[in-house]
Amino acid sequence: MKDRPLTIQSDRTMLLDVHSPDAAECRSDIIAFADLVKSPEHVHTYALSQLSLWNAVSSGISGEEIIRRLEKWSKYGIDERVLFFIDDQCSRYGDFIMTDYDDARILLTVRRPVFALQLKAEKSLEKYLEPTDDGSFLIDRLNRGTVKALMIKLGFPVDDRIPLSGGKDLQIKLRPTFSPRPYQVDALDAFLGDGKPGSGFGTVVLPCGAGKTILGIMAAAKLGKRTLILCPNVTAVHQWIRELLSRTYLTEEEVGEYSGEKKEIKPVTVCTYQIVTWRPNKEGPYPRFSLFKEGGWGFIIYDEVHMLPAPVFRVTAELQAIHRLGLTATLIREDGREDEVFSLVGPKRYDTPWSELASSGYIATAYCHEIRLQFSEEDEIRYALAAKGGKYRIAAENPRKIEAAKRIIEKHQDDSILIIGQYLTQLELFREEFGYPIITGSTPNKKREELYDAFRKKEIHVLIVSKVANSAIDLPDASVAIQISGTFGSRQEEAQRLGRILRPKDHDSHFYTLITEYTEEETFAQNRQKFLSEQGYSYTIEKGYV
Amino acid sequence: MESLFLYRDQGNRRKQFIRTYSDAIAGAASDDDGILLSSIALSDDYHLDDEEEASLADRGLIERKKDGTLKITETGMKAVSVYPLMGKKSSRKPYLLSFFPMLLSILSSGDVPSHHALYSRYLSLDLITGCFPSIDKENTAFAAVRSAEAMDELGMLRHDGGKLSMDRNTALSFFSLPLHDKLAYMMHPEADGDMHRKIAHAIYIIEWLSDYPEDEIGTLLHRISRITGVDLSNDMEMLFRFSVLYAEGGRISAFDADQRRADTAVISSDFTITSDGSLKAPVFQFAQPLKADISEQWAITRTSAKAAFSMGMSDKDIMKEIKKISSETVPDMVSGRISSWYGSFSSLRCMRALVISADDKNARVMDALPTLQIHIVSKLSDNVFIMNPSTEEEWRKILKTAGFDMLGRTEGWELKEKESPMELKASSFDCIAMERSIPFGAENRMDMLQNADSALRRALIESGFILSPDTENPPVSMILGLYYQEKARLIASAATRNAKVYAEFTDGRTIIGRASKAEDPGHVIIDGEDVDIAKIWKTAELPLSVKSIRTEGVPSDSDSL
Repeated sequence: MKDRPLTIQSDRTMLLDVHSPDAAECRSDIIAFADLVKSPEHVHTYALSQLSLWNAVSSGISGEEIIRRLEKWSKYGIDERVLFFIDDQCSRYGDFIMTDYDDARILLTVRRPVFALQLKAEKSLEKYLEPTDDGSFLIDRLNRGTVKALMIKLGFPVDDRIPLSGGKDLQIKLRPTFSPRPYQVDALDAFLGDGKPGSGFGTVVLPCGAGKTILGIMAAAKLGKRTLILCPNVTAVHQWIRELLSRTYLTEEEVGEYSGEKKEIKPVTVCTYQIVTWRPNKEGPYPRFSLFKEGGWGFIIYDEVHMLPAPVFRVTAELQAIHRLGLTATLIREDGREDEVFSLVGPKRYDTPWSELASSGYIATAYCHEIRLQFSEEDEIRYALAAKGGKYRIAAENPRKIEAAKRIIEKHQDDSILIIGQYLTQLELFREEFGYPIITGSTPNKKREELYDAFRKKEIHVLIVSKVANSAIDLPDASVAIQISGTFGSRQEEAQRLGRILRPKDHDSHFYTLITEYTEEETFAQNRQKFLSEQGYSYTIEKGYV
Repeated sequence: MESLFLYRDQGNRRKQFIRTYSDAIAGAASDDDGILLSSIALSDDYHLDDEEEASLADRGLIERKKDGTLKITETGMKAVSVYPLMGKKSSRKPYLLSFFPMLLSILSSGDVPSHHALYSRYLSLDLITGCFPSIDKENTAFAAVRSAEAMDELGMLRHDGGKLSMDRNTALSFFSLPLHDKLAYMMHPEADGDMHRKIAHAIYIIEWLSDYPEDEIGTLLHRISRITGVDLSNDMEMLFRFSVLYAEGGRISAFDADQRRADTAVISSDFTITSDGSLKAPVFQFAQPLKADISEQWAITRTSAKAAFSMGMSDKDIMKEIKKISSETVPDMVSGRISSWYGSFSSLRCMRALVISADDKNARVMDALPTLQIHIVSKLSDNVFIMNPSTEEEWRKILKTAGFDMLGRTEGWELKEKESPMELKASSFDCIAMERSIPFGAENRMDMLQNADSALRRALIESGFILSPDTENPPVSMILGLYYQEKARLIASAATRNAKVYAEFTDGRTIIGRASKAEDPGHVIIDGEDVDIAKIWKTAELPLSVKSIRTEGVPSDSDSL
């Protein structure tokens, strides 16, 4: 018993000893009903939640089966409260069932009359529910997602038995030029499920560089529906189009770009979040939301779903009849709306530790370095005298970072290097000092594409980029990133920036973050590093660069 | 086999008999005898009444030494055990050994306000109680606040600039105490040395409580008070609140403190320390609690490192401790980060008499801070500043705003101002086995009782004098009721000495019990019953060690048994 790899705690977190010979088998058993919380080197943490259990039940795993699997792997006896929670939550699934009613409405039936009373008592649901004589409720089809999301928040999981039927068919055939990786196949299977109601929508979490775009294309090919793909920026739009054309037999006539530059609606259309959430004035409607309804889409992909803008939540709620896939590397949202993402786009269907993919060679092995720099005497005083709000920027823009970056670049003569920063004045200083090209928010898309292309072709050895390159930019050969400043303590940004150099290659990657020691920047850096530390990345702390 | 009863007064023969039949004698000692023997074994000076002492002594289970002390014999020790004294041995819920180490970490962190109302609120926050998901939040908060109050009363806590802190040696010395001593100090900080020991002893015993009927707990507490000399009746609620005891289905048990202890832990690059069970090592010095459950989780943070530095640890000390417990390679990042924190901490130190010693860089900054200048009384050198002690809180704030958030507490100041903390000592007690080496032969006794042909035999079996079915009844001189005067004299004499008598009545009833005088001279009180001497058919004086019984039945035919 002692050798079993799982320790189940009374707060429903579970610790998996990854050094156990049974760890892999155990993980594949529990991942269907537990969320991966963190995965540092030795012990991975999983958690059972209402949502994770309901998702498991909706995909056909019973409470008894969950308990059986836990008992199989648990090192010690399982706390009765945990067993009760599993049993209780799993038995709740099915108390509320959504089925088709007519073209405009759907029917919500409840297992026991008391549940109907509970629903009636909820103010937040009142306006969406039209009670029927037999104790059920009718709901406007457009409010299907909203009601589901609200009910999940109230602890009432809905068994949505309305099949996903929307969208026009489209044959998408994959070219035989690539082989899907095992984890991509697993993720696709987890996403598609058994094809019954309750499957075919959800979020997949994979590290940067692990091939999320490929996964999206595989899913589109499998579903064979007209597809809308939403991305965070135009560069990403172009990357998706490039990949679609090279990985499938789709032609340019079938793949369209809907952006600030082009407004094409084709069977597969790729657009930015920005373009769909544009509106002429702050209070007015979003005219381009019609795009969601008018394309005959049967499948929507939300790339970098953690960046899904708040207004899109509203329209997403209406898209419950369509297959939808969220892709992300990090589940962290600074606005704390992760729950909404998962209830509207869909639950997390697949997640895998970064370290696993790195050790299998599917993403590059990356070494993280925290380079600690001192202030000059003058800056020390400036920092000490500065108001609280101004200190961080003084530390972040420490001019000694230029010298440190120079030494790093000298050390990596043969590598493709990104210098990533937050402040434009600082980035400009670096450009002036080194003469390397720079990409910021004001760089025209065409120019950006040219520079990214030159970087990919190794015509440019070092590229200076602002936060526009934080995510969704595919630069396969980048192997060194020098982070000179960042958005305070953003863990998500740190992970995304590391992600720029994680494409697998024949040599290791290095992620340098330059910090002014004994300043606020040090504290923020520690917070930034938290997510990656939890993924098993270790930063070496180095001094003496300047 | 002859009856042990025959040998109760016979020197060497008795010794020989006891030696020969030691296991049988121990096996005939009932659970009640075992409870009594266990109570004696656990006590320094357990007081027995004359009947209890006679009962055990006559069977060679105890002996009184020349110096007057009671000693359990080798035979008696075979019937000594924790159970059934403390209930029925069964599986108990695990005690959360991590509670006190984690509390020490919290109270040493420098984050806890020193004002009672404020720290009471702080220690009741989810932030604290959430570390112990398996314990009721209210109980956790109660135990944490009560412990902080007790530690304050014991002088373990320091009040530094509005925050609580703790001296490292004090914290370590509390950490190393056994659980019962920790609890005794927390429940009764006012108790002096001997009283503390008694309370700790009582808690030590009650920690074994297992599946004990709730409605009989008063009797047990009385027994424990006889063993230890301290009555825990008024502390029961606190024992529940400190999660020493729990009740389930009308029975009370103590959480099992004899749980998995971990020698090693895994230290990850996210600065967490995870162990399978409660860590034996004092990681509370440099880590802050995350969670205590089946496993124990800590995190090394900037704040926890600062607390460790403030307690006098260096980065190297911390790394040494970490390496000692780590079962896997410690990520470089951990040592690198701790060293950098130490560098930051060491760059500015505040010593007794409020002298600030700064490195060159910080000295320059201090010189340049305009708001700080009014708090600098004078400069001893370029790097050493004498600060105004009465404005310490103000200039600490100024320094913090300027970026010196790792400034530790004032070194040495508090020690001069306050009395030394109370010396914390571990109490030691005798251990006894969980279960008897020779279990009580209840079935054997039951068989013998079923075949017992007289009340006296029955009493002797129940008293543990008759050890096997083939033992013949021992001879006892009986006076027949026909000899009234002789009978009355025997009874009167016994009543005067409160001795034990055998009284068999004409209707076949039998009472064996202690005799005492009745108001009517023709009557006697036996075992609490007013008896007409004329109606006694047979009588004899019996040793106190023979069990008091009453039977209904046919009078015996023989004059002697």
